[in-house]
Amino acid sequence: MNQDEFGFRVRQALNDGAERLDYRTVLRLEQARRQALGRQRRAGPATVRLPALQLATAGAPPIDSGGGAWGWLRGAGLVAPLLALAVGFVAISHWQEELEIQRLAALDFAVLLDEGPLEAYADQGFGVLLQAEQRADR
Amino acid sequence: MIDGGKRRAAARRLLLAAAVFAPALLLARPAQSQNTAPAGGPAWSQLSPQQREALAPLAGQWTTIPSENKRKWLDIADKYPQLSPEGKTRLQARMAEFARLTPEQRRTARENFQRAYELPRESRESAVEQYRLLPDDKKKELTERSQRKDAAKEAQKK
Repeated sequence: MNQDEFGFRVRQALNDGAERLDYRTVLRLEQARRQALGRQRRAGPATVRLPALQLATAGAPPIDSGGGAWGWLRGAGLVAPLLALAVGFVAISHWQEELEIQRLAALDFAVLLDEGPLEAYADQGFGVLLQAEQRADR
Repeated sequence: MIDGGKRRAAARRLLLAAAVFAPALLLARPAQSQNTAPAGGPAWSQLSPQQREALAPLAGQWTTIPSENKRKWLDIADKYPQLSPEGKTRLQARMAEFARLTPEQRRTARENFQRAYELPRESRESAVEQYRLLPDDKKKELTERSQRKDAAKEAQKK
């Protein structure tokens, strides 16, 4: 087993172990982390660099208190991306709705200004006559 | 500090709920607007004098027009001032009749209009003339034939 492979196996074992931690251990780790952060804040204005994924949980209550079903979302730092996704979804949907209304307005405007009888246009039977004319033209 | 933390947590939960449920609410909206007839939008009294003049034939039925259709009519009202006096008269003469059509008839009218303008002028006029000369029972027969065709197509899709 070379050094790289050994390193890889150790990392894998640690990752597996982390995934199988029981609830109480996770809770204790979270509390210890909060206490440590609290002590650091009291000690002085030191700059704490946190990985981007942890920003969503920094300063928030522990995973089990008040978070309920949302806890894992906050833990994974999904709040901001989800919110951005929802806002984007709403904006695109409104934009498409607006385009559709403009398309219908342009079409209805043309139908209203046309000289062809509305009664005929609104009748599916007239469509059959138009299709017959189309076939005759080909 | 604790209160602030709780407030932040509550705000976060609210934002999350909004993020998750906003798209669902948005998707639910069109279905709702189809089921309820008089659906929101600006009141007749809220329209500008120019919009009221353009849409005058719709004044009596304005409250029954769904809000999406109101937005479409307001778009048409914006185009109204650019029309010639003849154009304005024709538009208004057909407006109330068009608004009274069922959504299905309006869809058919748009389809037939587009189909008619794919034809040369003579063919288009010939189809209109043929339709005008058809007795009512024959018109009904044609409509039913077309509806049967559509139903068969739908059945094939399923």
